[in-house]
Formats: sequence, C-alpha cells, structure tokens
Amino acid sequence: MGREEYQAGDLVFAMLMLFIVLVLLVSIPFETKWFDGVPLVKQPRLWPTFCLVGMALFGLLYSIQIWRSYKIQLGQVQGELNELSSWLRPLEFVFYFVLYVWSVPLAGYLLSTLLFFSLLTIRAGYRTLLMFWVSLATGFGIVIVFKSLLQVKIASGAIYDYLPDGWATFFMIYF
Amino acid sequence: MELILSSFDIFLRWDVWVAILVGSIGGVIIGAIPGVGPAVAIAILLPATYSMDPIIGITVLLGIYGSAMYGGAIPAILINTPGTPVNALTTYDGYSMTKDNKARRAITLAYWSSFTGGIFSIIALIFMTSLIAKVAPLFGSRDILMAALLGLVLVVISHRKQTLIAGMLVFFGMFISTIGMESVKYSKRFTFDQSWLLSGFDLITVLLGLFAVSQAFILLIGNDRRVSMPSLKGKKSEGFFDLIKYKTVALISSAMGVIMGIIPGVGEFLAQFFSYNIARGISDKPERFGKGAPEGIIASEAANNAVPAAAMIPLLALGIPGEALTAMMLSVFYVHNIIPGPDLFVRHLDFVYGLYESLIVINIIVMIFLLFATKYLLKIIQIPQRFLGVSILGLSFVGVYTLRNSMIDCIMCAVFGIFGYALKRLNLPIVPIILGMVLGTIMEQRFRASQARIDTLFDYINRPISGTIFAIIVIALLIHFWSIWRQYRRKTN
Repeated sequence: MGREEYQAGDLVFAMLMLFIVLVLLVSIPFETKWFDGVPLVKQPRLWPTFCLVGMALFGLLYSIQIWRSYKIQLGQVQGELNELSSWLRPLEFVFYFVLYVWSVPLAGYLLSTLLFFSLLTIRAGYRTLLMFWVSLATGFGIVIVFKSLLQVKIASGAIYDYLPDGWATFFMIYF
Repeated sequence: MELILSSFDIFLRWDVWVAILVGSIGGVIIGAIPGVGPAVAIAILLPATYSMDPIIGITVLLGIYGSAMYGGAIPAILINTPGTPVNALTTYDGYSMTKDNKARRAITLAYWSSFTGGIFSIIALIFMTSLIAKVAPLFGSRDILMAALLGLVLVVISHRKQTLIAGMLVFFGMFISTIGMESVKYSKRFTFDQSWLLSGFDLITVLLGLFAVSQAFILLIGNDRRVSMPSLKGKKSEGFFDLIKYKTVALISSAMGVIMGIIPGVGEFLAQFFSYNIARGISDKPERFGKGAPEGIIASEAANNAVPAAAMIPLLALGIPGEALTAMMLSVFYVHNIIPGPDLFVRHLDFVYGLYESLIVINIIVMIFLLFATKYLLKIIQIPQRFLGVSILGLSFVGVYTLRNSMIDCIMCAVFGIFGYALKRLNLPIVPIILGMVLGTIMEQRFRASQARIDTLFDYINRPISGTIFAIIVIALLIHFWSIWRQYRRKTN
C-alpha cells in the first residue's frame, strides 16, 4: 500500500507542492473575503485557510522526510530533472485531446471521433490495416452507444448544416 | 418484510434487467483488463447515467463496482498481473497455482470466493437495515461532521508509509472543494478573477482527470506487454469443493470485508490484508501461503468482494463515501435529487431494498457468466495496452464534455490528468484527493450548520454518537502512532 524507499521525482514533487501552497497562503487576503461583525466560524476565509495550513504542515513534514532520505549526488539531481521532464510527456496527448474537443462542434462527434481514434492509433504505433479498422470500429461503436443510444448531450457539428434538411436533423440527433 | 417483497417490483422492468446485465458483465470485462479498472469505467460512465432513471443509473454503476473484482482475479491468477489494484494479493497464491498447472482450480476458487463474499455482505446489509434505519436518523450535524472526519483520518493513516503525503493530498482535495463562489455570503474564493473558476472544480472533471485521463497517458506512453495465456485444464467444480473445505476462512474473510467496508476510508486493501493474515494464522500449513495455498485466494477474494455492498452503508445512511467509487456514486444520487443520509432510510426504504436486491442478482449473473465465458475473457486480457489508452482518452471526452459542452472543463480534466500521471509515476495515492474533495464539502457544510449549538469545542463531542466517533478517531491515531514508534524502535535496536 505504501513504499518506503526514495524514488526519483519525490523531492521535486514535494518542493513544487510546497511552493504552490505558499503562493496560495500568501494569496489568502486577496482571494477570500473577511466580513466585519461576522463570527470567525462563519467567515468564508476560515475553511480554505484551514485546508491550506493543513496542506502546508503535511507538505513541510513530507519535504523534510524526503530531504532526510535524499543524499545530494549529481546522479540523483539528474534523476529528479529527468522525472520532472517525463511529467511533461503527456502534453503531446493533451494537445491531441484538446484538438479533438475543439473539432467536435465543427466537424461533428462522429467524424471527429473517427479521425481521433484512427490517427491516435497510428500515433500509438499501430500501423497495420487491421488496427486501423479496429480503431474506426471502436470509435464508431462509442458514438453509437453514447450519442445514438444513450443520447448524451454533445454539441452537434456545424458541418451538418450543409447537409439536406432531413439528413441534417438525423445527423444532429444521432451523430 | 412487506417492503422487501414490494421492492422486487423493480425486476418487472426490462430496463432494470438491461442495466443489471450491462453493469455486471461490463464490470467483469473491465475488471479483467489490466490497466482499466472500475474507477476509470465509473468515472467515464457517470455523466451518461445522469439522464437515466435513478435506479437504472445506480444499478449500472453498482454492477461495475460489484463485479469488476471478479474479473480482476483472472489476469491476477493467469499472468501475475492484477486486473484491478485490489486483486494484487490474489497473485501470491493464484499465480503459484497456475505455475503448478492448477489454473482452472485457482480461477473457479476465486469466483466462488468472490461470490461468497458478495452474497454474505448483501445478506449482512439486509439484516442491518432495520438497525441502520433506527440509528441513522439519530445522526445530527455534529455526528456527521465527526464521521466525515473519521473517514479522512482513516484514509490518511491507512496509507501506511505514505501518511504524510496522503495527509497533504487530503487537504489539497479539501482546498479544491472550496474554490469558487461560496454559498453563505456569496463571496469568491480563490477564483483569481477568472469567471470559469466561479463554479469551482466539478468532481467529475477532477475524477476523470485523475483516474481516467492519467491512466490513458500511462498506457499511451508505456509499452505493450506480450502475454502468453496458460491453458485452463480441469473441472469447473474443483474450486467449489475447495471453498467448502475452507468454509471457515471464507466466512471470516467475508465478515472482515463487511467490517472494513462499513468503516469509511478503509476499504478493500486493509480488508484483504487482515483476512489473509487471519487465514494464515488459523491454517494448519501457514508455510504454503504465497506458494499456492487455496486459503490465500479465498481470503483475498472473499474479503475484497464483500466490501462494495458494505461500503454502501455509510454512503446510504450518512451520505459519507468511504472510498473513491462510492464518492462517484454519491454524485449520481445528488443529480437525481436522492440525498443519501438518515432521511433516505425513512422515506425511500423501498429504493434501498431495491439496490440490495439488484446487488444479489448482479452477483448471480456474474457467477453464471464467468463459469461459462472465462475462455472468451482471456482474449480481452490481450488487448494491446496503448490501444486501450487511445480508447480511454476517447471515452474520457464523453465523460467530461457531456457535463457542460465546455472546452474549459476538458482542459481542466487534462491538467488533472497530467497531475494524476505524475502521482501514478511516483506511486503516490490519488484517492485522498477525491475523498478530501467530497468529505471536505460535507465537513464545511456540517461545521457551519452545527454552529447554532456550539459554545465551546467540547460541544462537538458531547453527544453520544459524536463522542463515540471521536473516541474511535483518538484510538485509531494512538494505534497508528504506537505502530510507528514500535517500527522506529525495531529499526534503532
């Protein structure tokens, strides 16, 4: 359930969290209000302050714990930096994800999903025709289940406006 | 009795049966795929269930919750990779049995053990309902405040060796829940003049980011595993006879699962570790544990599958979720204007019984399905990991976009995805953030509501219930610090 040994990235994570908490603690007077004449327990400022103080306290103790088990050596510093850079690796997929979200109200859920699944499958390293068809089938299946059957609320695509009236309504409702 | 019988009426509806089938079979399949798990599936499906009838939506999610651990035992036993994190202990004895060409026996034993745990906990739940219905209305604001505090304390100290970071993440979750417009004075808190922060962070957005999107990143960036499936030889009844032979272990483990499930913040991990240790303690051949002991599989599977039904007790009776999955289900209740808490057992007892009965049917369907469909499930385990990542990312879109059709929500979800990815890489826990968010909101509301009756701090604990819960908190903390002290002494000597 837990781990005892030090892992690369522990220190940089602890420091980052501590830095964020300190910035938030300093922002308390500007980001929360104090109402004169209102008892302390009913002040809107009380609860976030309590949370941030708790976070800072545990964060500080955690940082000390990490610091004590951290022997500063060049290799370990490099390890911390490598780990930090590895946390940014998903940014590429975040970009694809945001592009997908942006495309849905324009190209419609069906077309966007088919493109997202097929292109991301290729990007993930599956370059066979079989996987291409599997990705299209998966994307199509998801659209059918969620949009056509469960009727979840997803904006219809602007592209559907160019279809003939009957088809446009059909696609707006089901795809 | 009359209420129990009348609540059977829900099974006259075809949509309830569809929900049960989709939830239970879907849950088994999701559980059998390493790297997905019920948390990811429930987070994705949550918004889709909002438009459904309450009993349908909750049944689908309950089905996934209650059946995923059945499926999770399959890869744990066959390829030494737990399908869900709570099947990890099953690998010890399950995989050892597979190496001894007893894969079929181990798998059927895991199924029957899970079934025993599941049914045992539902029966316990049904018998406890009349007691809960009497006790739950006695809970006032101060008592619920203390119960929520107990949940938070337990979730922190149950993360042994990670207590400090778990504490920090709990407070982080609590802080996130305070962002936005507060509901008493209608003042802004930590919005940094950003209009999109006025409504705060939606629980679903955070859940999907931390659980689903982060998992998609892990899978997409990682490599595919090549797995070779062992053949399943032997009779399907072998596991059943093992269970009969070790029925005491099954009953003790199921009871342990129920007890641990009821206590908020504890959950499957501790239930199975305690059960496993008890089973080893009462075994004639404790040296076999970890090397293919059937009692080991029974202990871990019966205990972890007894937890879901038991975890519904604090959720339904007090509105306090004990872990991430029940926290997700809490939001479904709220969306449908069914407020879990003392009132539920007074006004909607038929609904509560309907849920219990659905859980029984889910367990029976899963058992039948698994006895006949295991060989087909083996194919699902072999789905390439990175393709799973593509699918989870695509499904996460449905989960978060359907909330408000908002690009901002999707970006926030992706940011939490990166944060969850970092936490997972560092093997740090995610659940404290979610429980901090949910219980933090409850605590702030109850804290304010109880002020009318508070003159001194002692007033928080001078009620029988709040006083008892406070005593439990103190005892839990004392035990925790004592175990740390003992560990420290052992190291220094």
